[in-house]
Amino acid sequence: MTEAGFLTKTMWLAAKDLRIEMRARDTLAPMLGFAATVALVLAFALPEASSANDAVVAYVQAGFMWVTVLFAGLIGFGRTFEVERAEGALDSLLLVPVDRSALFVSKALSNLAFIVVLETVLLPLTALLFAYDLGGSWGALVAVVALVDLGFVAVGTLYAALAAQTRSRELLLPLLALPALVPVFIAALELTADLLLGAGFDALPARGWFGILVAFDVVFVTAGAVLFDAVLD
Amino acid sequence: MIIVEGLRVRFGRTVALDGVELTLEEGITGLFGPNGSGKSTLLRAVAGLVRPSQGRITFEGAPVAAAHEGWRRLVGYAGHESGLYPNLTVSENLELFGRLYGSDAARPASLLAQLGLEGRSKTLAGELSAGLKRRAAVARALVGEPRLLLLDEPYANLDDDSAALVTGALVAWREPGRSALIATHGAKKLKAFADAGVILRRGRVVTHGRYRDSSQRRRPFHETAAP
Amino acid sequence: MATASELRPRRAGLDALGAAAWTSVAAALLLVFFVAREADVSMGGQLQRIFYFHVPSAWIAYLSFAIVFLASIAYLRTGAGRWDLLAHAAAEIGIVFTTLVLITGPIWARPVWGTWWQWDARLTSTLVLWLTYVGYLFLRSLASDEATVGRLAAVVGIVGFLDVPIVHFSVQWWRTLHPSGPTVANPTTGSGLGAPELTAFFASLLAFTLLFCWLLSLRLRIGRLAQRVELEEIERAAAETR
Repeated sequence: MTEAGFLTKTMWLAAKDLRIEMRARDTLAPMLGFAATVALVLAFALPEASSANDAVVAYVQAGFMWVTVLFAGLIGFGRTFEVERAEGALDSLLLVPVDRSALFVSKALSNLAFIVVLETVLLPLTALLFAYDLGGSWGALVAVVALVDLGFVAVGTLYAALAAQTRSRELLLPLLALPALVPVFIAALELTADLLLGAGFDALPARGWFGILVAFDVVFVTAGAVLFDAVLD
Repeated sequence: MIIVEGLRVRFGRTVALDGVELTLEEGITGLFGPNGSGKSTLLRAVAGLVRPSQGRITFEGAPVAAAHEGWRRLVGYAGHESGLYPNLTVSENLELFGRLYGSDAARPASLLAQLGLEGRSKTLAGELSAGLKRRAAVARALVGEPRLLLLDEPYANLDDDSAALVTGALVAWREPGRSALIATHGAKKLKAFADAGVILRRGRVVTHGRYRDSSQRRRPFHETAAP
Repeated sequence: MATASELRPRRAGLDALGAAAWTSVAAALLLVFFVAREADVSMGGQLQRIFYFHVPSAWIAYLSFAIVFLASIAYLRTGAGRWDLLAHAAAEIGIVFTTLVLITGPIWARPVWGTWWQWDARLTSTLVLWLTYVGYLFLRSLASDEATVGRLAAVVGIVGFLDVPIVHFSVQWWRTLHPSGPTVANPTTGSGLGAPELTAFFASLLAFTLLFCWLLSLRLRIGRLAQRVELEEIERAAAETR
């Protein structure tokens, strides 16, 4: 049998993670549960939609959504590496003749899948709760979410692998990841708020936050792929 | 084939290996020694999972490191834990690793047969008994047809019948150009078919030699020929 | 490994560097308090002098992190322990200067803005830098074993540094979109910065740089000595069990 290519191996590894999740169900469920609790607490902290002007409301709603995704996402990333620790599977994985960056991409892909599921549940739900209407700009929202997720997952996967090797992984992951994710978070907020205020897709790139997101994604996906080797050794 | 020179491995303040010199040749080499003598650490160091504090390990002249993809293709390792994904079935585990090592599609099935695991192929790896887990771990180590096999206590928790299956699989795997280093407390089982033996005590090699004939194999291990 | 006799000339050099550092600090203090003219009230009056310490601290904080970045890369490529030590040392000292920035900023800001803290671009970016340092140092103390700690810390040192310009830029932009409260006047472009002030400023910058070099060298020396002690203890323990 000939050696399979980089992409094929990456897909096998990502499929492995998803299959394990479907059996064990111990990542997605806690993520969703945690998201629900964060959303609940935030709901009390936020001002009434009717009492403030449109711009403030837009930012509040965007903030609500992204804070929830951020915290629930970090919980999820931490758990995807717990899978490898049981029964010493990580050693087996480290010895497999696969490029370490393939390991990074496969983990990032499965993390991305979890985040997407979370957002698919969360977005319509918050739209309902806040009674906001994105009009025709769902497509633009998807584009924004895609770019944000890419950066989020890149940093989250790298740092989750790192934190997994320390004594206090639940503390270290948010401590390391949140400052690093500040640009992504700001960009996510700004773009989402713009969309809620009625901006069309064409206006977004002009805002420049798109540029920041793209730059961030490029830098950190590359850094993650290159540095994953050093993290796992 | 594998040359270990001046290998020192430290974990914090503990010295696990204190200057190991070893040449691993073709065939199956038993690794014996009391608990805490450094057998597991030596296996992990040769696999490339542990970085030496001093010394080097070379394979046909080139340094060994888990960082090299080419090296990883050649190695099959099974440590104390099974190294299997508990939420995948035995078959799924073997097929996954088989594909990643680029081995024959029929290899997983053949190993299941050799190690008597066909009946449990659809069981989740996490639900196996200790003995079955051991056999499944050995199967996983063998799935890539490694040139270097490193096993840590493959006979642990095995009754005589299961042990015979493992021995059978190892003998079937043994070919010219392949080496194995197998740590075990069950010296008798291994010495029956091993080609060489190494005794480790407190992180250093005490004895090392090839068994030239069956009479040497029958001697208690501390009397084996010196290098 | 450095022997005692090898360390002695370094000790002399270290002392000389320390003397130079503290001398320049004294000189800078003189210049800042007696040569530079008082700024006008809108900029804080006498309190504005704190900017002579605030800005150099900030430059050193970022320089320090640049050293962490470069040393981390060197460590990952060579595996040599001295790069790891350099990264660790630079992080420990860098966080001190970063903390200084975060303290001196609000002290000056209080009379000028009326509040202790403002989410302005520079302070916010410095806060993120500070948090990155904290994460780096926490990681070093929470790693499960010594063998891996250097590698993991190096990754954070590299990623954290790559992040800094992006963070700075995005916070700055965010701030221009959402200005609130008085925008901080840039003291360096404010009125009345003539030769005396510039002299004081550069004197302060020199003093801080020398201070940083001295502290870094001191920390490196301590690190090397600690490594030597540890190795000797291990050799002794190993020899006893043979």
